[in-house]
Amino acid sequence: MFHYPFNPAELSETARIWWDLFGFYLTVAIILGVVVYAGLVLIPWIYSRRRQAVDEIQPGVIPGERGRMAYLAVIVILIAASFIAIFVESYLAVNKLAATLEEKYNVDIEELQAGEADGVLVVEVIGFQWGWTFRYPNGVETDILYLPAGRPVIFKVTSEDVFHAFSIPDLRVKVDAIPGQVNVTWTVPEKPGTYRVQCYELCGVGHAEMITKAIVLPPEVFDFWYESQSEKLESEGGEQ
Amino acid sequence: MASEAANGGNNVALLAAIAIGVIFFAATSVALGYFMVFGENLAGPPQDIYIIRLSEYVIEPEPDPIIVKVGQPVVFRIVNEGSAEHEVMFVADLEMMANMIKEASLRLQQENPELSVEEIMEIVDERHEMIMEEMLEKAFAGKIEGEELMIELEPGESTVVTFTFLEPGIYIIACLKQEGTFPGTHAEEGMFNQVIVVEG
Ligand SMILES: [Cu+2]
Ligand SMILES: [Cu+2]
Repeated sequence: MFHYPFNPAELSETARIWWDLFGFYLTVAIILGVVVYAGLVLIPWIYSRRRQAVDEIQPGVIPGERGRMAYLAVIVILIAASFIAIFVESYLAVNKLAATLEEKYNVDIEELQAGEADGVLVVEVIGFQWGWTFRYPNGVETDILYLPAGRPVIFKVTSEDVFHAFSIPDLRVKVDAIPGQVNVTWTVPEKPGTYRVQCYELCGVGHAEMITKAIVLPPEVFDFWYESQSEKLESEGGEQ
Repeated sequence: MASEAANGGNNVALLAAIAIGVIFFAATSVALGYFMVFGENLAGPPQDIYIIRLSEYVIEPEPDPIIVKVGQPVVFRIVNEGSAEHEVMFVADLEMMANMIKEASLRLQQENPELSVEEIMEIVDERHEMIMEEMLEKAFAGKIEGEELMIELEPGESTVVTFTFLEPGIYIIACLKQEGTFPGTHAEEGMFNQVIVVEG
């Protein structure tokens, strides 16, 4: 039925965490949905089969004690349990986001904040009205985001003018770009390909066109591109 | 009796309304879920035809990216929309190929300082054409079926080629011309792209 060539959860490490959480939400929603719809179908059916009307006088039984407390308790417990489950799972997922980077890819977040990251590509993302600039550690600035597959990438996101939001929806990356503030997020893209980069914060008339491409390349091709750009920058710097 | 019959009718109507509600809910959930999972950009299903536009210095496919199924013939309509000569060439090792051409040109320039840049590019082109074709044939034997693995286009020219990919993986296409970027190649400016071959 579906011809989609990839499992969307395998496009990046963050996508995997996101889809895990989504799967959990979906499970909770399905359980609650089944209960609600079963009630919707069964309760009218049961009551319609009763000879006695719902609000008929039942000698010796106070209306307030006709089992309604039990129903209420079940409903309250269901709602509370789903809220708590979703809260706990979301909290764990947010923690997993930081922990994965630290444990699986050995990125020291404190060192990273101090500005000395080894083996991690740190890309500065600058939003403006209306477009994106990507600045690489070697000083190269591009308007297309080039990324290596299978390597952790840290995005330091900021804005030149108004609020924007940097997002690569397929890779499940999204963070606000706010002037005067640097927001940090990360991902590990896993499948080479071209992905959409888009602004997700209404930022003016050009908002809808604030789209560019993220090209995820095999690592050796990315290195070729990165080194060629470095060389080019050096030779330009030398000429001046 | 009459009231009971009316009651029965009401029940049927109620159950029908509930059934419609449930079906509507299920259908919208499936549709929404479909768009959530498959509605994002990654080009969707592998296509049979791709238009590949060449200009200074980009290879832009449409739709983007190129995703092809193993064993299924795919048609590339390649158009040179730029003002320089460009090519689409399958490369196994982009860095090695680009460096080979760059170094050959620099060496030639050192040895023969009297040659102009155009002459050097022409000589390098000629010398490497045979070697490249051999290398490509060797590197992609059993992987790509096609008339030629190196398609050169003058400005404004276009062509249609058919390929069949026999192994899944990432195939890099690049332009290794030097016009305007001498001694580097167009690939160094970002004139490369990828063909993603997936299992059918
Ligand atoms: Cu914006
Ligand atoms: Cu070219």
